[in-house]
Amino acid sequence: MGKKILVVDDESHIVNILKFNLKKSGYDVVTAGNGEEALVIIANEKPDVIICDVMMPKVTGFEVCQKVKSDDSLKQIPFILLTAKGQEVDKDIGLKFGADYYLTKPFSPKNIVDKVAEILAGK
Amino acid sequence: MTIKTDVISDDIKPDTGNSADFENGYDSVFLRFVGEGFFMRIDADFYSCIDDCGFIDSIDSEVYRYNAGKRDYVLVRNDIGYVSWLVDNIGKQDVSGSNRIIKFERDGLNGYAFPIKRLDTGKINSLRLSAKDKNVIADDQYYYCAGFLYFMIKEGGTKSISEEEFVSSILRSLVRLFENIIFDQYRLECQTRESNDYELLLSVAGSIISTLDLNEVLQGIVNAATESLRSERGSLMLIDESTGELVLRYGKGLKPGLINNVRVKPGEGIAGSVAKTGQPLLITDIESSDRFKKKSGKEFNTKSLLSVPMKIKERVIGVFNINNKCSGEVYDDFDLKLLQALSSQASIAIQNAKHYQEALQAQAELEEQIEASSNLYEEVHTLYEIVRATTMVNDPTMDPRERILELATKNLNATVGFLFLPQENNVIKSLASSRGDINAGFQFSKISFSDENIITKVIKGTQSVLITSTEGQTVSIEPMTLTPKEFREDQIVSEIGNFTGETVKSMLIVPLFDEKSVSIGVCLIVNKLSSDGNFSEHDRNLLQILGQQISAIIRDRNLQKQYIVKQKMEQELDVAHGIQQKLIPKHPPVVEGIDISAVNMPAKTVSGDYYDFLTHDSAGKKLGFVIADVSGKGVPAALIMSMTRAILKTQVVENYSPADILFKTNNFIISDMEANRYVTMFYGMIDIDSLEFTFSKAGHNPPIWMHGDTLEVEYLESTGFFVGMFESARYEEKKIRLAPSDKLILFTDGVIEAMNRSDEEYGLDRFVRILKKYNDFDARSIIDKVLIDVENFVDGAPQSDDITLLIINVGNFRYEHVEICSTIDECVKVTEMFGDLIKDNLLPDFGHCEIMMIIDEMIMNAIEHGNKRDPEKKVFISYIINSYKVEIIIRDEGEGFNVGEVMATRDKVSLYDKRGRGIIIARSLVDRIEYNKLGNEVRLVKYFR
Repeated sequence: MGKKILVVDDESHIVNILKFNLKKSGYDVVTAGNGEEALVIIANEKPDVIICDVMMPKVTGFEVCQKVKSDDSLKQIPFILLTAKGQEVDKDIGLKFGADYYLTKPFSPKNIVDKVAEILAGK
Repeated sequence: MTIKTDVISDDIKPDTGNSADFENGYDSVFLRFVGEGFFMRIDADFYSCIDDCGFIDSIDSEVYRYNAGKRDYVLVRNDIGYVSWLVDNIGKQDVSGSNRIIKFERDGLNGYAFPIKRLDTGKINSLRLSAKDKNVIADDQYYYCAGFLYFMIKEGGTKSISEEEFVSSILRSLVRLFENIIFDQYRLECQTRESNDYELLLSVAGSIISTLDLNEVLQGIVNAATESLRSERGSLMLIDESTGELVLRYGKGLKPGLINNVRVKPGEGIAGSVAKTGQPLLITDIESSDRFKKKSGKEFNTKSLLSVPMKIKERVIGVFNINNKCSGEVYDDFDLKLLQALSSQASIAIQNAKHYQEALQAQAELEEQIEASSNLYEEVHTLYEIVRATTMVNDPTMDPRERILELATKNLNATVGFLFLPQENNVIKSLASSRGDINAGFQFSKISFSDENIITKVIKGTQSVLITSTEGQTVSIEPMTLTPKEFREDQIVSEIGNFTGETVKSMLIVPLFDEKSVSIGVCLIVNKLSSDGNFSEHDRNLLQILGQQISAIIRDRNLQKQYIVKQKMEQELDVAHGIQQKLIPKHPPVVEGIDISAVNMPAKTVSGDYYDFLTHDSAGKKLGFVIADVSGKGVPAALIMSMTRAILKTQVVENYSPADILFKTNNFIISDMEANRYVTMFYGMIDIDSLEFTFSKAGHNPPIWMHGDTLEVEYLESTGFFVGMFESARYEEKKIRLAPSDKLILFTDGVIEAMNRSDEEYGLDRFVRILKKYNDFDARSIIDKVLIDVENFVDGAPQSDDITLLIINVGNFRYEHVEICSTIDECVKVTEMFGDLIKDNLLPDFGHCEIMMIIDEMIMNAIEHGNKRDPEKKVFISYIINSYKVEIIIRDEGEGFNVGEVMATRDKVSLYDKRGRGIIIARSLVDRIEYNKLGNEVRLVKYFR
């Protein structure tokens, strides 16, 4: 069975692009359009990698990351934070919340797929 | 017991019609008569004469039991076709003839036995049974006797009717019976067919539902139909919605090449007419159908056919054809009905498959769109990276051009990328970037612009070139800058091949341009890492964009270099200007009885003109004046000027001969002077007591001597060459004696040669006219008037030469001075004082209010903006108010302001900038408004004439 990747973003086109590229590379992809949905999916499906946008209404990517990383049964899941802001401050906050990787938008879909492969290979 | 047998007839022919039916039925039906059923069909008349009747079964067994007249009988038949009658009844009887009716006697009664034949080879039966059926007996020449129908006639029973009548009546009844039986059997057969067909339909439907692939559906339908209808061929045509034509989509028993290629217009041929009318067609023999005989194509070899429309909600979507039963039989209505049922099932299935295919296609399209947007996103990322790279132009650790090349190589999936950019001496430098393992130590040979290779060709052609190859052999070059052969043999191409260690199969080259849009280099990527290994037009577009970015960086860098050079030069000029301004005296000497004023206006930052006041003696009684014009302008002229000045200064002390001063200066300067450089100079010396003016001239414009009483003009001519031209040049010296109100006007040619936009010169005449007109003015005012007149004349044309004017006016002229503290009160007081003064001098039609307003505004500027209302700080005011002018010089103790900036904004004054506003108003109301360089001193002059 293919590895399961969770993609979380409130922008559907980003979700579609990531889903498309990850599926093409043979991964199972589950998606969520907001942070609350993401938390439910993470708890139920235990994905192998989480790719999550930071800037989302209500529950932000930081919060999702924090919740995942403070849960003993989930914290080993690699967490990639995505954000449109290329600011160092954001990056520091993200890493403080326990994000494993940090990528800025606009990202290269190829790079993300490579990153996921790298993470899974390292596991 | 005796048995008598007799054969009545060989060929039984019923006396009524229906003989065909009878024969048919007789031959084809296997009969069993049991019970009374048969006899009920026989007329009562005849029945009344029958004592006993029954059926002797003789099938598949040697011994048969039969029951008649409540008695059991046994009939034994032997293999060769005769019947033995046993059990006190029927004796042995030869029945090898086929249709014989046996007459016999039993117990004194006459009996008739009708042989019932069994024949299994009839056409219908043989078709109905499969070859596996062991009951089929193929030999239709051999008749099996199935049994006998016998009748025992009552004693005297046939007396009322003849024997022949009896037999024929029996036979007629038999015919009717057979008819019924045949009918029943037909019904049964139909039911069987229907049930079989129902099964077929189910199986077809099942197969249809089980697949959604249109081709499989079509195939399944046609195969099922041809099999169930035992036909040679079946075909399915669907309407092409774009053309309305029927297109053959599947055919069984047809050449595969016909599929999708046979097209039929509605109304054309059999299928076309079915599609048009929506009505099915059953043609039993196409050769006998006038309508379709000729139209049926040879390739179809059609004999009998069925053609039914396929409909969805009454709309015809296609036609289903079945041709030629394998048996050679023709189709019947039943077959048609079946095909119609099948067709309506198929229509739905086809529609479903079509919908499914559309859905699949829509999904594929959607995926394509996502892929496209994903690629777009990749591109956005690339462009984002380019923008980042280009913002790093000033990062010394990273060359953004290399970064862009790296991006290009990576994003376009090239094996390797190069930048070829010029270094010094027209040699092109190479720069490589790759993500694979590359022979990093490889050195490219130097390329010169005069070389003939792919790179220089692209540079000369200024267009991008795309080289693709098919299977590594056929090379296409677009646009065609060189031939495939030239490409393969190109020096650069082979060097790149050596560098990468693989053959150059594809290449994309875009030219790079400098700030003058001259192509100077190329960006080049090699061998795409994709299945076909070629770059696309899309790649070309992207590389062109990247090339433009690299070009922009090259341009920016060059412009930046140029800017730095220019800035450095300007800085030097500023320094030179500063030095020069220090060399030119700030204020004229104040001498009792002589009014002196001078002005120098450089055409560029640095002037080649020069004037100075020099003291010859310690008592200050002899005052020297020099005016000079260095050939050329700018820094070189200024340097010569300062050199000249330095030499001059050393020569004047205790030397009272201007000619000697010029002579010595010339001798000093000549050794340091470049060829073609010279200085025109006028040197004059006034004795303040005697007003004797001694002068000498070195090729300079003769100064003007305007007599104060007569306004006569004389030119102070004397002979002498330019300074710096000839060694030991001689200079004539002359003396004049000035009278009161006499004026000496020393000037450079920048004054009289000032040009307007029509390239006309200001001229000496106009100059002299102005001097005469304002002869009673003080030296400074005459200069003002000349400058105003020159300004009016040139009318905005740029100043072409330095302007220097020096006026010596024999007469007294003094400024009055007043100083105030920076308070409103003081301002009001001093303004009132000026008000009174002006009123006394001003002609009645001059609006003194305006002048007062400006004075007030300017003094307030000094207090507010200059001294920042600091009461400790003073405002110094010098002024002259006389019959022809009001001149006020206001100086504060502030830090000054950027004069140039405020003066430049004359047309767009900010209403909120009070100082600026005051200045703008003043400019329109006074004749001169001049600030010193620092901006803390302003001179305002209003002339009354």
